[in-house]
Order: sequence, then C-alpha cells, then structure tokens
Amino acid sequence: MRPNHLRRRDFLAGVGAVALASSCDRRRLPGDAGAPAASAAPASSAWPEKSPALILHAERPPNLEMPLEHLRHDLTPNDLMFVRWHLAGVPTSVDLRTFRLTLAGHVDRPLSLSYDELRKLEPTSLVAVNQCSGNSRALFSPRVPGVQWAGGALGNARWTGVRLRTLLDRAGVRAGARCVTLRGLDQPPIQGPPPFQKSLDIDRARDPDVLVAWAMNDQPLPMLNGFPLRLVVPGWYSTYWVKSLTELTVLDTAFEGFWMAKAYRVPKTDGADEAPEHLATETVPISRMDVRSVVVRPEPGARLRLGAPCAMDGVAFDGGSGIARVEVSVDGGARWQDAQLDPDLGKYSFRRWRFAWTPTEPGPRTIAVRATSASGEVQRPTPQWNRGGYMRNVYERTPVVVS
Amino acid sequence: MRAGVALALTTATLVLAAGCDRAAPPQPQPAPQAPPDPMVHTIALPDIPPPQLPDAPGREMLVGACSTCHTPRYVLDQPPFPRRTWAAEVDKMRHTFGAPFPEEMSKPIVDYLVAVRGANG
Repeated sequence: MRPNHLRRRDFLAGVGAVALASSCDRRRLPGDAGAPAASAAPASSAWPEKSPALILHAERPPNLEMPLEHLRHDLTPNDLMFVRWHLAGVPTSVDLRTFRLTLAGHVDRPLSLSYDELRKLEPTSLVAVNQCSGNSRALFSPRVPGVQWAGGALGNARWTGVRLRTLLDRAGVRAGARCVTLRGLDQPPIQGPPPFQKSLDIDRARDPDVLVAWAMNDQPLPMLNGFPLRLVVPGWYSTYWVKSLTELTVLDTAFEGFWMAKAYRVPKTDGADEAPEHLATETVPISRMDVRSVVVRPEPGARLRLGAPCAMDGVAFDGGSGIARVEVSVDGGARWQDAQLDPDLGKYSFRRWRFAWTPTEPGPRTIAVRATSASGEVQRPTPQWNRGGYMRNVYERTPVVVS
Repeated sequence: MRAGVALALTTATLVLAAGCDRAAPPQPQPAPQAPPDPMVHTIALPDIPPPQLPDAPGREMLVGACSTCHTPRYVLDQPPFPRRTWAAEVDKMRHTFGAPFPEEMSKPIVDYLVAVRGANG
C-alpha cells in the first residue's frame, strides 16, 4: 500500500485536478485498489488562503492534507501546505495592534513584543521540512487511531523570523532554566480539554536554527498555518512548530502538560518500534525526524512504455544532517543504483533526487527508493509499528506496469 | 479570550466569506473586508456541514456527545478497529479531554462505533 493511492483517488475526484508533465504515462491499472479512510471525505473547498486541492480529513478542527503530486515543488506553495489543528477554537481574526508575543517565567526581564517590534529584529531564513509526527499513519499495519494521513502531511518551505535564542537572550534566562513552554492562540471549544501547549528543553530552544517565524516562502503565514507567528524547529516533527505562537514561558522545572507527558510519545526503542502485543514500557516525547524519501513520479499504477525513457524523481529529507545519497531499485529492492541529487537547499530541506530509467522488459515492476542521511542513517527496509502511528520511514514501494 | 483575537469556538462563527472566489489565486494578505484594515487579519471558515454518519443504534447519542468538540467526520476518517480500541478512544475522550457525557453513555457510543467501524481482534 502506498500513500499515493489514497490521495490520488481523492485528488482526481476533486475540483483541483492539475495536469502533470512527465514522460511516464500515468494511466491507472484496472483493479488497482487504494486504501479506504480519506476517500469518505469530500474535497475541501473554500478554505481561506488554501488550495481546493487539499484533502479534507476534518472540517472542525480543520485538518487538510496535501496531495502528493505537489511534492514536485521544491518549495511547497503556501496554499498547499497541510493544515493540522487539535482544538476547534482555531484563530480566525488577529488584530496586530493588540497581538503580543510574551516571554516570561524564569527570566530577568519578561518581554511583550508586538508583531512590528519582532519584525524589526534581525531576521534569519532557512529552508526546512514541516512534517506531522503522524504522517503516513494510514499505512500502519495493524492500523492505529488518529487522523489517517496518507503521506501528504508534510511540506518544505523557506521560513523567515527571529531566532528564539535572540528573544531568550533579551529576556535574560536565569540559571537553572530547564525548558520553554510554547502556547498558541488556539483554544479548546469547552472547558476540559487540555490546551495545546508544548515545550522544548532549554538547550534545544537556544539552537540558533529555531525561529519565531513570520514568513513562509517570503509571504505572511496563512491563518490556518499559524498567522502571525509560528515556531519553526527544523529537523523536528511539526508538533513543536506551534502555530499562532503567543506565549513563551521559561520554567526551572520539567513541563508535564498533556501534550508532552501523554501525547506525542514514542517508544524509547530503535526506530520507535514496538509490537502491538508487547507495547514498550518506556516512552519519550517524539523529537527528531528520521530519514525518508518519496517517489513523486511515476505515480503508483503508472503504465510505462517499453523502451521509452521514464524520468523518475522524488524528494528525500531527514532530521537535519542532510541527504548524502538516494538509491533507486526497479526490481523491488534486489539491486540498487544511485540517483542524481539536485542542488542542496539546506540540511533541513527536501533534496530532490532524479533517476532516468528505460524499461527493457514488459510486465509489472516495483520501484523502491531509499535515502541515506549525511549522518549515515538509512531508511528501514521493513516498516516499524508503534501505537501512535508515528515516524514511518520504511522505504516505500511503487508498483508500475511496463507494456 | 485575549484582546484582538477571534476564535472559531462555535458553529455560529462559521460564516461563508462574501466574495470568496475559489478560482482566485491564494492571497497572502487579509481577505477583502469592509472596511479593510491592514492591521487586522480575518478569515471566514467554510461552512462545510458535518457528514451524515451511518444509521445504527447510538448514532444520535454519539453525535450529541462528540460534536461539541469535533466533527463526527473523525469517525469516518478511521479504519475498522476492535472494540477494545474504540473503548479506549471513548475513555480517553471522557477522562483526558473532558468530553461532557456521563459514564453510562460510553457503552452505547462504543457499540455504535463497533457497529459502523468495528473489526475483529
């Protein structure tokens, strides 16, 4: 089963179908069975600042997935970046005259900064992948509950903002600080649900690449992606990229809020792997992304012409060391050949790979791709499983037919 | 609620945007409002009605108990799960998320989920 199966069916049924240019014929195979899940939902429509091509998982709170075709962009257009909110009280209006980002707690000089004041600070830009912890949860076997993302809960963008470290230094973090809590404008719809609040250890928060961002691809953030400010924690899953960020608090204790202590936890095992019948006894908060790659072209079920060159491509990324190598197999993983890598956009970015293949034999074939990070991490040959449906990074297989 | 911030807390706030043109290119700046105020960014969430769930005993109870916080589409987004998985989900919603329904409603809600999205195991 492949992520493309789910979103492709929905995408073609939606209003936003886009013609794709490739030398590979992409007629579907008869009887090509996709997975269920998102197919029950209609295409999303009229989401402000967002593309109608996005796949609707939920309208309240908004949860919208990007069809994987759009991984053909090195930088994901802002209207195609996926949307994920936990609580139905999402911000719908922000007055920049009264909006403030506060930084308080275990500091010498608490800060309260307006949008304009923040934007006068020295800006930093970097390109980074924004990926949901549960991206590709729908591919877990056995299945696990949660938003059934096929594969498009990710995107890549240039983020611009001020270093969180700059704000921490201005506030004067006191000795003994342990973490920074992160809170956005979103609210539970009733009293009861824990507010969405996350934390970063103080050392992680002081990493010079952690940004309080006001721009995505040089444009203001769409409201549904966190206007006016969003934390960017490059290399880490987007659960830490708190949207509509408004309240930072430095603690000299550990933070025990629900979204750190109970949710978004993974087994403390190699590859976050555990067995359904033997759940890991020790879990830790999810953090760094593992290495992944995706085939964008050809799409699953494509019919390739015998003897005609097929220009294959896709993207690879990891948790911040960069991509060193991408290999492609056209025989299901028996033999591997190196793909060409496009220029590096930064160690946190998508790295596009390309591979030219001219099929010489007819019949069904399975394309596989695997990435190796600069730190030497290789994708898993077999899928991991965990109760949360997190961190999938098995190398995916794309079935095609040569005729 | 914080000053100067509006949240989509009730369905009453879900009003379709006048002049929201699907064919228009994405606008990084605030959508047209009257009168326009460059310092206020406001969106209108689309009025997508919640889906009709499959008919089975307990449906109205589930919709009543769960829709305060989230769309019943969450149910349709899920694959089939065994009863113990659904029971754990309903328990989590009551105890962790403070879903406002009494204990005695849990079983009929789980029964409904098993009826429409149940699996062996």
